[in-house]
Amino acid sequence: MAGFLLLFGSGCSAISLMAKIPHLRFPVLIIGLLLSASLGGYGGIIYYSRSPENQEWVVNLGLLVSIIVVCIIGGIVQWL
Amino acid sequence: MHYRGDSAMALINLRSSEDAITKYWTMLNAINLTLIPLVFCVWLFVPSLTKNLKSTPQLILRILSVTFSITGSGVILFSSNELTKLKPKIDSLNKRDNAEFKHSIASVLLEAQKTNELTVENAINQRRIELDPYAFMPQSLPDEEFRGSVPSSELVNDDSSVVPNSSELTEQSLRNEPYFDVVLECLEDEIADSKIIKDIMGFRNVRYQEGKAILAKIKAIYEIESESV
Repeated sequence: MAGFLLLFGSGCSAISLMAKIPHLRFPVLIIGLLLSASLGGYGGIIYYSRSPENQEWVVNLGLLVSIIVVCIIGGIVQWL
Repeated sequence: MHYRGDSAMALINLRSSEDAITKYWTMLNAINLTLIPLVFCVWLFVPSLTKNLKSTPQLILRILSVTFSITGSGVILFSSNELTKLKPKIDSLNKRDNAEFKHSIASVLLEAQKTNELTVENAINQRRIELDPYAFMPQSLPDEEFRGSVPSSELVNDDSSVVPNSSELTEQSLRNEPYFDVVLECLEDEIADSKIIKDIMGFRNVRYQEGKAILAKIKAIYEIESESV
């Protein structure tokens, strides 16, 4: 789990660092938008396809939230 | 590391493959424990140390830190995956080692218990021999040849009552003996004297001569009674 989250965080750090180069800002913006849209869409799929019997969707949603948090931290760290 | 190795060598020496698995497990755990905090610190803190990206060394350091974070997290992910695959094998090895340890402890305790029981039994037998030295004589000794030094008047039987001397036995006291009727029946059935003395009357080893004398008296009584009938 730690390696998985660190991979996402360091990947977002790399993308965020690329935004420091002026002519790469627009592609990075597009990548950022695609990433956030896919993560949000995945969260919606998890929530709306949940079954009331088991609580596995809570674990999946928690994992998704932790990925989002790590991506945000990875992106912000490069601009502080 | 090819811990699966040569299958023939693994069959010949199972222990080495188990050691290899254990070492691989230890190595992967060490890699994980080293890399996770290192990658986390590098990913989180190096950007704050390299704020001036116009300086080339700091820019290179920043790029290297990001590259190291990506590579390190990939290695952590791979080793975690391998550890998950190895976990059932390690659990079964640990379970077997625990069972072997418990079995060895149980064997030692059982041996100690048996030793204690034998020691106690030996002590009891020694005490019995001290109290009644003639009760444990081996049966293989020829009864007629054995001559004890203890006078028959001083012998003590299991009931701790003094056995009467054969010369002091009267006819009435003989009839009161528990084996009297059985001896008479044996005499009617013409059973051998030695067998009557040893098995029926219980006079063995050093007391055989005494038993013989008593049997002679019983025979005399039997002959008198059979003549009178």
